[in-house]
Amino acid sequence: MSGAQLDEWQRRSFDISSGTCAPEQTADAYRAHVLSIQYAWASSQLSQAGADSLLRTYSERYAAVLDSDDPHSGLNNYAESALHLARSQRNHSDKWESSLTAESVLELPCVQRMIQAGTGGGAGSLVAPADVNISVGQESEGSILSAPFAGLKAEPPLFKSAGAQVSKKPEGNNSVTNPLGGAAERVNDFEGGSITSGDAFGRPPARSQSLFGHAASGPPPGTSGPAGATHNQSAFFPTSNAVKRKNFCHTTGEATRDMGVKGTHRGQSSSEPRSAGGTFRSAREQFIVEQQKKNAHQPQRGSAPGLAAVIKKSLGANRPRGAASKFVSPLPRQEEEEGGAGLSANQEPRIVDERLKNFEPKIIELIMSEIMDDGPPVAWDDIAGLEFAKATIKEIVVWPMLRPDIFTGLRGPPKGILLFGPPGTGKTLIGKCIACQSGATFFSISASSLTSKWVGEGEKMVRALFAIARCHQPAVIFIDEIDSLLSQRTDGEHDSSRRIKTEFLVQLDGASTAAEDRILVVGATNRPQEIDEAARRRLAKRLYIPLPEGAARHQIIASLMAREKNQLGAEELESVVSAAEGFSGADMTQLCREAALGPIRSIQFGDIATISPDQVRPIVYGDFQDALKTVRPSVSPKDLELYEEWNRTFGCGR
Amino acid sequence: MSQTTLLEEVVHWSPETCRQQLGSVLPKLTISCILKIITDIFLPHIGLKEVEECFSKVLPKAVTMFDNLMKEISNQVGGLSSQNTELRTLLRNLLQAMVHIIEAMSACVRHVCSFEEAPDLDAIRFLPSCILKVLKHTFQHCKESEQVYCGRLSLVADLLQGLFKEAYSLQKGLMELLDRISLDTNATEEDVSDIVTVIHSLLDICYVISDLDMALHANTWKFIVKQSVKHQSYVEEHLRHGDISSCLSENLLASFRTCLELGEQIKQTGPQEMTQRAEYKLFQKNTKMCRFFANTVVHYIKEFNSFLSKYCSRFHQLYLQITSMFPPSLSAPGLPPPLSEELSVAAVLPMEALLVQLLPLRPFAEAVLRKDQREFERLVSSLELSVEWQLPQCLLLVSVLGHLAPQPEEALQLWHQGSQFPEETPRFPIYQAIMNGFRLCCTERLVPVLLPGVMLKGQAQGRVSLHHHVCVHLCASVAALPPSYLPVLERCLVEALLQADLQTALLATDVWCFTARYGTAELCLQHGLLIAHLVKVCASGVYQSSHLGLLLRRLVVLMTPNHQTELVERFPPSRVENLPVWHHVQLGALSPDACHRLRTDVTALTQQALDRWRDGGYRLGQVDKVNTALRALQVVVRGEPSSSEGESVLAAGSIVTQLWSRMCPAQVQTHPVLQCTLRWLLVITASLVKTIDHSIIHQALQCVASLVSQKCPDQVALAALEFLASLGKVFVSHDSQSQILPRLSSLFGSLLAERSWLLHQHALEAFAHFAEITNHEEVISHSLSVEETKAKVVNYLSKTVNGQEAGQRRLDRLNMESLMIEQNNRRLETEIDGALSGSTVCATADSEPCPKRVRQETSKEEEYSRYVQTAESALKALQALGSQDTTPLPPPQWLEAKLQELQNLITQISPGPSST
Repeated sequence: MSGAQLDEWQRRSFDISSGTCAPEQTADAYRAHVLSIQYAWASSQLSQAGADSLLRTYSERYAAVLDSDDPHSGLNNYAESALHLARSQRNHSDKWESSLTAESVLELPCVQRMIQAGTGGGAGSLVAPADVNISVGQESEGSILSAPFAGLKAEPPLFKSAGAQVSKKPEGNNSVTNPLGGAAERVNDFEGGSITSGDAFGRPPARSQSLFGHAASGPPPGTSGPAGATHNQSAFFPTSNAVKRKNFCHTTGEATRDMGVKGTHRGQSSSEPRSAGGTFRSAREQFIVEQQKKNAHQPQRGSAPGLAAVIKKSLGANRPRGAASKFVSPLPRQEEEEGGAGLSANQEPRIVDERLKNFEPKIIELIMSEIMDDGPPVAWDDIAGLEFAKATIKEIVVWPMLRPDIFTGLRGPPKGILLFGPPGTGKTLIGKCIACQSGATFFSISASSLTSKWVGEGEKMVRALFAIARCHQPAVIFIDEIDSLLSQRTDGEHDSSRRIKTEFLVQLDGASTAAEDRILVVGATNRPQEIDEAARRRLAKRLYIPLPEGAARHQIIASLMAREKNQLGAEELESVVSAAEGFSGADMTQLCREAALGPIRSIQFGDIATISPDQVRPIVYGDFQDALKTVRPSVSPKDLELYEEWNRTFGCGR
Repeated sequence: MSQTTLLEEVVHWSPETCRQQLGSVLPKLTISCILKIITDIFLPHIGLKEVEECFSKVLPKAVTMFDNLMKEISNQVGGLSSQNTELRTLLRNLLQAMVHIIEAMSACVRHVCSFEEAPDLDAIRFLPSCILKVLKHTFQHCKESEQVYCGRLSLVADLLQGLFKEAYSLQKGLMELLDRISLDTNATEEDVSDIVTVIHSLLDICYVISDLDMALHANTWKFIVKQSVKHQSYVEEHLRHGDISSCLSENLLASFRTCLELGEQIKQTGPQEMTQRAEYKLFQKNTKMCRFFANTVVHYIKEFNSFLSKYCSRFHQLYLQITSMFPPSLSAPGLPPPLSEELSVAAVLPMEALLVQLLPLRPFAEAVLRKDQREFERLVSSLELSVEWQLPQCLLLVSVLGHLAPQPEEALQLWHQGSQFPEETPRFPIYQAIMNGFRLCCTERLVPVLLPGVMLKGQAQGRVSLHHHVCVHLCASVAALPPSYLPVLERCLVEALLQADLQTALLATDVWCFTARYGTAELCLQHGLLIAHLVKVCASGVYQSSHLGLLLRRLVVLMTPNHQTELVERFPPSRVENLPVWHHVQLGALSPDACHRLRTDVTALTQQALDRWRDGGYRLGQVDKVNTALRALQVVVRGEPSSSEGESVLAAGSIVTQLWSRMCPAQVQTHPVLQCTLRWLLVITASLVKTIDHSIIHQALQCVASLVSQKCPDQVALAALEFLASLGKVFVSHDSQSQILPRLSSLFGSLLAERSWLLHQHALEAFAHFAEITNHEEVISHSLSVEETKAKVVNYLSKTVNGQEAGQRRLDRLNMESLMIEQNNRRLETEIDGALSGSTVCATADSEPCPKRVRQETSKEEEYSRYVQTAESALKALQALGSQDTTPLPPPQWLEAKLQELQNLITQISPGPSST
């Protein structure tokens, strides 16, 4: 008996059964079990069959830990860590197409070896030929059959493919009577079976090529039965993550619809292509579009309470499939804020950083929920125009994050920057882009979440925010509408809001901040003149984000129109661009939205119920001309003067 | 000393000495003095234009004289002793003269520097080349002084020191001067070649001064790299990149090794006074050098990467050499943590930067992913990697994976695709290379080594196992995988799944499940069907089948109910040939319909198989069909059957009853095929135990008892334990108690005394399980009649574990184990290859092979040939290493001795004529 082996095994199994170890440790312990079994097998302490049966037991338990999404006992396929590592990259999984088919896989060398191993050993049997006729049990009767075992070796000449070489043990004795037919039956049956579930005997093999390849793309013409039914379904949800969760597809459907509406509201982010889906579509198509949109998002890690509840209801608690659904659950970011509280409630309070132990867990959770590290990746090229602002931000934000060793001393990055300019010019989009491109932890804080949630607790929140950011360096804190947080301090204002301001200013650059802290506060506002002068000092770089220039407007329209059917010539486009002088990015989106409705308006009301999407005419120049009559710039020249005046006084740009 | 000292000395020489030295000293004296006069008195008045003319006349002469002096010293030094004052004076004078020459050269440099405008290169052509020659000789002399002067070094030490100091400042001055020179667009070829010569001469000097003076060494290197970069466009094609890069790497390694040695010394003295010690100061200094060289290497590679393709495998080695010396590598010396930390910041961090620089280079990828073409070693670039490099290599690959995402398409292609054309250097796709690397880190997995985990929201960074680490990074890479690389991922996963190492297959399943959940549901279905197909194709006895089953089981869980139904449609369980697919499925994972269908179909099929068997007269030859059906039935009856499934439970119960009546211990003992039957039968009975008649239980116990009393195959023993554990649920009625309970306790007694540790452990578990729920407590005490057994059980129940083994002993044991595992894996794989080539494997069982295959004899020879090949390839690599380098770099000093040792070893191994 191998004492050391046994001791280690027991130590591990006590750990597992104690119930106090984290799922990671449990998984590791099971893996070590597996390794022990392998060693026992390798050193002939265990037969292969014995190893097989133990392996099955422990791998089942291992899989239960690994594939489960229960944060207490499961690892959720390491999704949290893996997706964290992949956070700033695009997800292509909806376009993945398997290249392996039932035939091609047989050509892989490793599979061939496997088959050969089977046939190599398969010629023998557990039963020696002489014993075949022994009667099992008490009675012994005369033998009827005499079965030589050579039959199997005869390779059916009819099938040259590797599949035909398959010869499997259960058929062993059949081959006595029908050595060729046995193999043929298996091959046929498999291939035929993938067309229909019916009897496939005698079906010509030629008809069944590579059905695996088709399964995902759509029904092959002329098939019927259960397989066909599935295809119909998959056509209905073309991007098919929905199929995985089809138990609650209705609920999801509604949710997505809501999200669709939100998506359109979020149009102020001027050139973001995804918000451009303003044209009319049938409900079904809209749903499909939303699905596609969802798939383009990064799957979100952590659970989303709304959907999680649905999963629980429909799948039952014992079903680990819930994990799968949540895994692919691609909730868009807008819902995160509502989700925040519930999200954190799901997670048990875990060991947090030493520096955070003085804060209430509630507050920490609340701030944690504002960390934004997923969502659609935004690249600098997605932002039209604003070259100067982009270059400046790259210089003072992105590069220092990437190469902190160079940006030291005088080159050290500023502690804060302020983006100001008329509404709808892409300030928020720049914030998102910083999040994606800098690799820093990105806190997106709305001023209201700091001020309103607990009156009097605001300054604690601010302190916690900075403490957490310090634990996650490098960090970017993005505060939209910062004017509401850092407005001029006046005598008559409420005490609590004043305290928040003071705390914020102190945290931003005060006695407690260290020079080497790599935290950057990015504020965005369209009321720069209201900002407190002390705050202005601390937001050292103040960048004016002006209305888009001609080229930028051109880019916005071009990118929005690229997704729609349109007949817009280059000159026409140019004239639209020049007519839209003074429009902000959001206004441009609104304009395109309005123009895109033009083709719909031209449809008779009676036809709208029956017309097919491709019968809707493309968007033409006339639609834009009409749209220009109704859409007006949202920023007045007087406002603009104000911004430019402020920019001349305090701005850091040109 | 003034310049006239030499003259004064000469004045005092005896006539005899004068006569002797006349020929050699006189010319030197004059030139030395004249040089002095020229530099002191005339040079200040010479303008920039004329300076070259002056230098061209004077400097070459000075160099010749310097050489002569040097020669003279080496000629004379043999007779030096403290008594021989004359010779001593002579040598001191010679050295003095050398100092003068260097001083004069310094004056020249100073003079040129004093001009306002930076001089053109062609205006001072003679200066650098002459000075560098002198410098090199001087440093060489200083370096060798210990050997040259032997014990009499003290007699001239002061002068040597002066000489070195002068040379030092001369070099500094020269480098300052050269710094000011810049080449413009109309630089002639001559200019360029001058610069190149300067750089190369300095490189030569670097070889010399590497262990003389750290600061000078570092400054020289700084200058070399700075000049190379400054004149990059002119000189890049002329530089000896191989020499420069290999010299840099050597220097880095040298200072790194010094650090390690110092660290060892510091460790031995204890940590308290560590920071005060001189060694610690030295350690810090060397660490600084380490960092400097590492950063310089990175910088150099960055600037000249297109010229370094030939040396990529050297850089690869460098990376491995350095990272293998740090935890978690098992070969890392256990430095005190603060030192290790400090050193890792200096050496390991730059290695990551190095990696990023090398990443896009094709030769680097080829070196890292190299694939050995030899037929029967499928795995291995590994053979050339020594054991301690395997973990670093694996981590290197994982690290590459992490850096890959933002790379351009070509780099992705390079790493992801593997070699595609025969004319390419064969290389693995990175996924496969990682899997292979992971497989080779068997000892590390056994230990297990811990790596830093991914830092997540506000939690302290955890330490994770290698499997966890690799898995997370693979998954992260999969999460951003462009569609065009999915095929190669799939192939690599299949490959990894079907190799022999279990844990690697487990890793492949983990990644596969991630992919399945991350991708579309269709993809998951497609993969599920594919694996099911493979399961069907695969014979059930080979190890691949259990790996495939592993994956299938998990994929089915991840499928949507609809797709599960589709799986059932494609592989209807009502057909015998589909049963292998269903062997691997977990019933609880299926949707209710699929579950129901599977249950009814399999039960019916089993009954049918049983009927046929009965009709055929219960022939042994037909048993395997029954086994296949039973194995599927076992899956179906597992877990708690719901009340709605009463029918199939009843049917299964009747099947069990029929079968038990045919089980006869003697036959089971002799026929392996019946052992299988018994195994499934026991498992099924365990699941249905509540509904089974007590007489059947009695029968089963009898059968098992008679088997256990002889030598019982472990698969049967394990199944029997499952059965026994399940008996805790049964309350035995009074009339049958006397029959069943004694048997039960005697069975437990003998199984608990099992010698094999795995069986023993499972017996303990089964017994504990039984004891927890049973009503018949008397069985417990009766089972523990033997004291030894009782002690073990009590220990187990109180969760007492023996103390852990000591570190090194455990490591040795694990090394041995991993070797064994790897050997077994290779045996499994070569066995297949053997079968491929139609060789010896025969008579081994298909579905349930014997625990030991009789192959030891034949494989002996194979083993010989494998090890010889390994040795041969290693030696060849060594040879290539020696010949490929055009550099004058000598091989490490220990090589000679090592080779000698090897030679001895070979002599010992080979059966010489005397021994046979």
